[in-house]
Amino acid sequence: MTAQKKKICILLAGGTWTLAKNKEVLMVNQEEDVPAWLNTMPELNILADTKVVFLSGEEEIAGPALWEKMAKFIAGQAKNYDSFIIVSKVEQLILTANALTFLLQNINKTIVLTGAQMSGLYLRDKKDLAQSLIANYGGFSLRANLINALQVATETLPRPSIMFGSRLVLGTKAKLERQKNNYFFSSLDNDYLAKVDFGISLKSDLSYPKKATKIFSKINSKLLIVDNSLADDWSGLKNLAKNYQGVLVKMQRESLTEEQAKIIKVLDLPVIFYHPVYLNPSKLGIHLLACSWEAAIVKTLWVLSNFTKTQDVATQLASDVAGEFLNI
Amino acid sequence: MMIYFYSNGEQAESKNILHYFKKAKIEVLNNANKTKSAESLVDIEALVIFGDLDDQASYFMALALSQNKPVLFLPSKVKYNVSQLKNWLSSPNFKEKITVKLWQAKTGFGDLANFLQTLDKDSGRDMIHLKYTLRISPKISDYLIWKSKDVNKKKADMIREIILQMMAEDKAYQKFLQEKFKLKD
Repeated sequence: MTAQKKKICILLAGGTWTLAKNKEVLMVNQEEDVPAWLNTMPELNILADTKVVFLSGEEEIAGPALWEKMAKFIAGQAKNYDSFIIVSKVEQLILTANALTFLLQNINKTIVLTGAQMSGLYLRDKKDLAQSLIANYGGFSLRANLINALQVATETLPRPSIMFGSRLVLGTKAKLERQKNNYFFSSLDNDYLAKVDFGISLKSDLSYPKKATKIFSKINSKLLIVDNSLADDWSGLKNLAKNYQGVLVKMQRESLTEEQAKIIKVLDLPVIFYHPVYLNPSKLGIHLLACSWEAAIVKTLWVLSNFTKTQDVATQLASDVAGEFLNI
Repeated sequence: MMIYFYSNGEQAESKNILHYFKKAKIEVLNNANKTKSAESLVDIEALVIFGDLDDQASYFMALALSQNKPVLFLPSKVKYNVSQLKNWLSSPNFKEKITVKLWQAKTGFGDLANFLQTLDKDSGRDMIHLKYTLRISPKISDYLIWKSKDVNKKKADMIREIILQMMAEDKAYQKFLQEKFKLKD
């Protein structure tokens, strides 16, 4: 061997579908499932000294409670590992990557997220899709994704990033797309950290952010998400909002209707208007611009969990806290 | 047959190995030549690593094994960490897929030939997936139609069986197969 192999911790939180030698579908839904699952991927230890830790099964939704658990584990174990890989459900990878970006700001550890093309517990409901993936691609792509994730996890990546298929993209820039039953991640500003063909070509000069490390433990705030399209009924919004800490409005139309503006005016909680590019000036709420929709949701959850004064909320939302602002 | 050759070993020996592949008419993709005619490792039949098992070589090895492709590792140094390699080789997951032979100028090409010979006999090469356009006369067509009905077989199956039988009975071809990778200077 050449240099000492890196120590990499693989956290399992759904998205673990793989095929055994007998073509049986294996997934990790509880800790006891790990050894059999791991047996299908003996090659992982060629690349690094790996340890697999079970966090949650295929049934659990990757939401704020799980993100807090992940962040707590990584912050607590950071000194014991060179890098961390999160295996989770493909549909939730972007939100999870964003959550870790805000919770573990500038942690100076490489964190890579990946998963299988399919997730969930019930094979019966997805039989046709599973068969199509097996016939066309030989499985659910987890083994290749994990090998690629391990390879990039030995490098310095600035923030939590998603390795899936042939691309490595920052979680804050990622967009989930689907083509012919296949998920893939594109970058909102067409900037990729790495591409895979024969080998992995990593972008040069990648480094950890130079800002001070800030670890947060809370992201589990009560956020009401609405949009201002005419299809979204706001009639019950005033009463509903009483149970929440803030309202995030996705601006589908350029401005609010008079009726919508009246409702917003009487709400006694922070109201955040989101658009990826431009918002008309308004004093009705706080503006959140220039980031992905997933980053907007997670950032708002994080801000509301950690800042109580409206002015602080506004300041944080206007700042590029964790590299989430896009240059598009 | 297409293989991926990854080398970080001595350049002169690498060139000799590439020259050997060329003479043996093996299509080779390698890390020194960036020209690619395959999309990814999925398209190649085997991986040959010469030199040291560095990070990149380990990556290719893991990827090849995950796709059930055979790997020939030719370490160029005696001081290699043999105990770890032995661990891998004794693992039921790898022992059939990884071959490790210390590279020596005298025996190295023989080891390569044996590996390629094994690949050539691999059951994967019996898979029927290559298309071949065959233009025939109406007379031959009439005969194929009549014969396929007579023996109750598809025309394509019948032709394949005839060719397989010819191959098996062709002593000169069998001799060629035995020696095709044992090249003389």
